[in-house]
Amino acid sequence: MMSSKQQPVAEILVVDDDLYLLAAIKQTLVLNGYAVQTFANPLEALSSLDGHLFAAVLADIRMPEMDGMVLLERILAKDPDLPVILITGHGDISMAVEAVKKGAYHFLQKPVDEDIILATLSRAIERRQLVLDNRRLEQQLSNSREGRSRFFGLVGSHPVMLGLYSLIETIAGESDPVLIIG
Amino acid sequence: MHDQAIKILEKQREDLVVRVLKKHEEMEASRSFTERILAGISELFLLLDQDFQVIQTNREFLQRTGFSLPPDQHLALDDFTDPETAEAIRLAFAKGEFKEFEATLRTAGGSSLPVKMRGSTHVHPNGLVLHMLICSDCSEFYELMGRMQEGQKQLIHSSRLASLGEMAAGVGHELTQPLNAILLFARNCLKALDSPGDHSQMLRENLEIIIDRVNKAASIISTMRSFGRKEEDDRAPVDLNEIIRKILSFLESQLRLSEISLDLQLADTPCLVLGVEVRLEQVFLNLVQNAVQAMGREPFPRLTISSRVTECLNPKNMHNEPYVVVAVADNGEGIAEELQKKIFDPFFTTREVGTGMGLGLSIVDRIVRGFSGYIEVASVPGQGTCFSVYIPQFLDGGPAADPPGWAEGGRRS
Repeated sequence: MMSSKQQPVAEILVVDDDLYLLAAIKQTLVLNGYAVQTFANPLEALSSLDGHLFAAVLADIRMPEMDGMVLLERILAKDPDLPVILITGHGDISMAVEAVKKGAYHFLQKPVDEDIILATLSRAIERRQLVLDNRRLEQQLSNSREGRSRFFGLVGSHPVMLGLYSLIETIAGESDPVLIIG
Repeated sequence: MHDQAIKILEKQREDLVVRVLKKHEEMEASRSFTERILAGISELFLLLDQDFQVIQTNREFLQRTGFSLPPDQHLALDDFTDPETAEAIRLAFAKGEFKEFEATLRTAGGSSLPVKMRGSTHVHPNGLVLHMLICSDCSEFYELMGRMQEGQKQLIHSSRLASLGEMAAGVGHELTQPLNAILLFARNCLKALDSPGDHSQMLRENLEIIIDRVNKAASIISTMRSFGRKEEDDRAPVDLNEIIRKILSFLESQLRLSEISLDLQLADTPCLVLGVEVRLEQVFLNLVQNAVQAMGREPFPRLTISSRVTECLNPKNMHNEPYVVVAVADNGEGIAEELQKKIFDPFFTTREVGTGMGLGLSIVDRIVRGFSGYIEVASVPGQGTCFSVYIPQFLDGGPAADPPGWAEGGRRS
């Protein structure tokens, strides 16, 4: 029954105090090939973020223990690039707009239907993937730059030398011969 | 001799003329003084003879009623009052004691002028009988009261519209939750039907949940319906003391379990009101349960319930009438001042989502109003809350025991 996804299964964090809705969303996502963790309590959901990389978060905006807005801020404080999709009740639109301004990826208005959840999630996950790839590449790059004291045959870790290394890296791809003088 | 006599007569005639003139001046002065006094008073003044023909009025009377003075017109008592009022006035004068009473005058144009009327009779030594009538114009008072009642009606109407809006939003939220779950479970069923064999368990469970959620939504709607429904009118005299004893015996174990000490100060005599027993039970059950919940964190919870009869101003007719007052007081967390106005709104709740629909106090308020009563709240955050329920006392056979008037006073829209 599996879809066209070749990537490893994306794991979604779902937070909603309504247990029926929580179970329904989980079922929808599982049927569509996602891995899902559900929490009725936002505080427990927050602590599940530690050391765990979710692809996206689906959260209700109105919950007794913690307002969806506060949850959003606390999630983004832990991982600023995690796409958070908020589910709002009727009449919470201004709150939802506010949430997007504060960094939510998107908001969905109840009643939420399957297609909308899936479409929004797949775009969010795509972006998440790009962000993660980007993050990994930058990490690799800076790992390879920082702390090096030698570059091919050259020796030295002085900032001027580090600048020179990166200049060489930048122009190395050029087909024309380049002479660096200084 | 003759001349002498003529002179004396002349002199006497002159004296007489002078005396007459003087007397005339004095009378003129006293008459204009009386007229000035009469013109200066803002009440309507009438002087009537023994046949109740008008002898004199002040300007105020003429202006307000549009009649004109004799000799243009001869005015009798029956010209400016209806026959019943005229009879009452004649009777009061005949009795010799004229207690102030409210009456309606008829103006020349045929409209009516509400007044308060008092009078007195003056019998002159020569046998002349004069009746004096003084009427103070009450039309402004009645107009103001009418405008106030109109304003009250509009206020009630607009606040009802406002609560309707809030109720719609509240119901919208309550219904969206189960509907959304139903939608998703049904969609998942469709998806699972792609390979029903693998999913037969899921299909069964989903359908069961869907049925359950539909019932939940239906129960929310039926709660709303009962809220909107008019009272079926089988009112009877009910003793509120009995009602309180009954619900306390019902809640006894709950109170004991919560270690709530009870201070019961019921009036010695029955506190009868005209109402529906089941509805009134609902009122006090709700209030007591709210009190118990408000004291959830109080180490020494204390519930005080008192009943008494007191004179209160009936907002409908602005008369003082006997009311039964039942006060339910707790020493719990109290209600913040800005929330005190909202607690009677439908769907307003301070409890966690899912523990209630927030219809409690708005239903209580509606029931009490339906029995021509009202509720007062006094609360100090951190110290406690007291709900006082005022309902007109049922007086057996007395003038206040007038069920039709009470029933019509209710809200029919």
